[in-house]
Amino acid sequence: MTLAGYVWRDLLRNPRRTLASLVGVFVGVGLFSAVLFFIDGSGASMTKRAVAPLTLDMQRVLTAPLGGGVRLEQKARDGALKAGGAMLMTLSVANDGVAPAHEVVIRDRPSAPLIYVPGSTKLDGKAVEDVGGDIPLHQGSAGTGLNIGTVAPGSSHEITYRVTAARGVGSTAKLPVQATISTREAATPTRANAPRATPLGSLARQVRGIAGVGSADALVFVDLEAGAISAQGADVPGPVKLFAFDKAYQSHYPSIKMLSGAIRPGGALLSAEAASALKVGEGDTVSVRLPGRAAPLSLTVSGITDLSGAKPLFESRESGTLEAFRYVPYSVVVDHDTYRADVAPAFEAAAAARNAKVGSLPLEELDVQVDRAKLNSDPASAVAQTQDIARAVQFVGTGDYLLDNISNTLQVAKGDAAIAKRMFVFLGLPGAILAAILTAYAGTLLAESQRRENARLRVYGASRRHLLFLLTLRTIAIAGVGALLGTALGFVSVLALLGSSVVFEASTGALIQSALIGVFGGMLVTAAAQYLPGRRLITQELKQELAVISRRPVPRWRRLHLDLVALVGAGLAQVVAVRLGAFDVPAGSVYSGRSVTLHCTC
Amino acid sequence: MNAGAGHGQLAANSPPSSGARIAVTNLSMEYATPTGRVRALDDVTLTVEPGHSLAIVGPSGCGKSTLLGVMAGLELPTAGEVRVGDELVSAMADHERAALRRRSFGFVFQADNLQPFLTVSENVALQAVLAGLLDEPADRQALLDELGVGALGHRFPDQLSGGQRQRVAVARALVHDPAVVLADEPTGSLDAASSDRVIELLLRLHKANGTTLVVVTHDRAVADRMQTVVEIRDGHMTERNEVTS
Repeated sequence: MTLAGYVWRDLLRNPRRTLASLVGVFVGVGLFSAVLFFIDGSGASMTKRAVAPLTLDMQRVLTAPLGGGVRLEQKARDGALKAGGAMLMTLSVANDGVAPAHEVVIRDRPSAPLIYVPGSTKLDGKAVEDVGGDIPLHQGSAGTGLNIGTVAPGSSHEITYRVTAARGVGSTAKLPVQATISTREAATPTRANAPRATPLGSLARQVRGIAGVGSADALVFVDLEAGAISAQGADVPGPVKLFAFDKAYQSHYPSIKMLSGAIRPGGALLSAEAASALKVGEGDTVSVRLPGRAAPLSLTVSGITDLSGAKPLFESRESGTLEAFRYVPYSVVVDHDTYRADVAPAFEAAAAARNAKVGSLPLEELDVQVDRAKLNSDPASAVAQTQDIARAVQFVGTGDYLLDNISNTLQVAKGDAAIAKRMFVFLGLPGAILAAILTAYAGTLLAESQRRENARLRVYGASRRHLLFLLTLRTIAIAGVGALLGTALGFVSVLALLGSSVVFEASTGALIQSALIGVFGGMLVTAAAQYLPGRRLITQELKQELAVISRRPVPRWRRLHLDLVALVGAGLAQVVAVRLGAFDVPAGSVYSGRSVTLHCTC
Repeated sequence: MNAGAGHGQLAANSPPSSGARIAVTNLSMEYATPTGRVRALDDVTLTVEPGHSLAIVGPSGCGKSTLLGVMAGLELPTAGEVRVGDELVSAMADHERAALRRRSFGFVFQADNLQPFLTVSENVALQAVLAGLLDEPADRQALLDELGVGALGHRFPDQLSGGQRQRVAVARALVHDPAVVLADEPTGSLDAASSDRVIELLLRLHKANGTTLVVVTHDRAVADRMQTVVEIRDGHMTERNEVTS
């Protein structure tokens, strides 16, 4: 027999003592490692859960769907300019669209080395006063632009100002264009001389080719007046919404449910409510009244659809009520060709007509779905991925702006995840402390028998080194086995709590890392809690060991069972807190399916 | 038991080769108690020659177990000195006394002090392991056979009778061929028959190995079987008899 054999036999043949020592390690490390695995599991599924309620990942919205909209052109004499030479800068604002542009703001300042000539600014030939002695197109330290008010469809304005060159310029055409234009309808400034807006179809094709994009589909919708759909002399009894999308869009958003038929060229899908109100079915003909078109548009019903759960179609696009589901029961869906051939021209005509009252104009957008399977499970990494995708999507074409809903949502989730991790760490630390306390407590309970055994061995000649060696072996065995079993307990507990599908969302590396921290961290803490008191016992004088030491007076808190009272109190407090909803998800969190801020990437 | 290991002059780090001389000179021992200091031993002087046997008798609390403890280096005296062989035990450091005990002393107590989770054989082997000897199962078995408990090697202490446990304790005390065997009331918890048998064994092995034997006992009959008997009363050595049988 060896000393290691002695310890082995002691552990095996003293099961009560061994188990008493193990329980503390087991429970404490179990709690500690459960927190680690919980962080892994919940963190791994956080991206998935954060984006799950999101209907539309990204939206590219055309700013002037019925035409060119307002455009800004900057003109200057091309060629060299000597130092001190003067030049006229001309900014032309034109509204090629069918709707007025309100609150049109032009912002510009001369590019170095050009210097503004004070008092030279004119709007449509009329002088515009400088502001603070500087160009009125760039006012104050914020560089506020000049608001020229409303620009009616088909109208234009011209702003001119003079500049001089502080030093010679080789080619004025090579100077950077600084001028931008923004309107109330398109608040994001657009640079002068920007290319024409890319058509939606072309935009969709290019965006689909971007890595990380799952789908990109065009969607057009417009509100029509009440009773705008009719058949056999009857009108639908409420407001109407007209959509234009294709089969691919329908397949990518399964909340659009087909009850019968399909989207066909030249045909129309009717919502179930509209079909029921008009008592029409597949193959029947319906009329759709459009503003700017004298005769109603006649369409053959190619199918009936249930749009009652179609969030992509009915969720509000208005910033104040974003994601509010505004269902319009009487809806009609046409294909893009029909929209371009019949619907868009009608609205263009209506908007162009003087004194025309057009309730709303069509909104054209490209709905982009990110390939969510490729997103990192950690929201912090996932948001970096989606922002890269958004940048690539934004880089394609011009004439619109991008709503990056998924990045906004993940930004919030990223913050939530960081807070959650900090909270879990604060839960894990008590676990580690509990492990140490339980282990030390078990050691205290067993101290007397351990002391007797030490004394016996000392009488027979065991040195302190022998006893420390035995203690070390015993500690390693108890802490090692306890930490292993505790880590297993933590893992199994989290599996039961979150489910295997959530836990295994975490990467194998993360789980292994947590397991190692659980085993070695738990082992270290509990070994210290076990070894140090044992060592103290051994270093006590032999004389004290031999006299079976009289018990220390029991502290008052233990006599009064204040520890138990505190535990029960903490348990009750937790029950009350849970019942009062203290741990409920806060409103505004991504888990309720709402993002709280929007950043428009333009 | 370490076969072939003889006894000789003691050294803390070398195996003994024969019984050792124990010399206690002007030994005093005081304890601090809540009611003041108590003198457990007062100016005790005695000598045990190598290979001799000594009985220490006296009433309960007279200091005889304390005297045994000081001889073994379990406690340090307040005054006086203890020599075992050439070693001045009373001046040794703790680890040196521990080394002396595990190599040169064998202990038999009233309570057998066997480790309950070790078998008979393992309990005996433990002493050899502590003494730094090779574990020789055959020698161990021979010793157990000699003590009449050879068939009980695989049993645990709680499966033995009191007499059997004490014989195992004797085996443990002798397995490493100690120069000195110290026995504190070795028969105190045994019936007469078992008591006789254990004392008989101790004496037989003491004579066979030349071991110095010191026995603390209440039992005058046990004491009379030793070569020398000393009596302690209130910490004083009051009588010394040389038993001529």
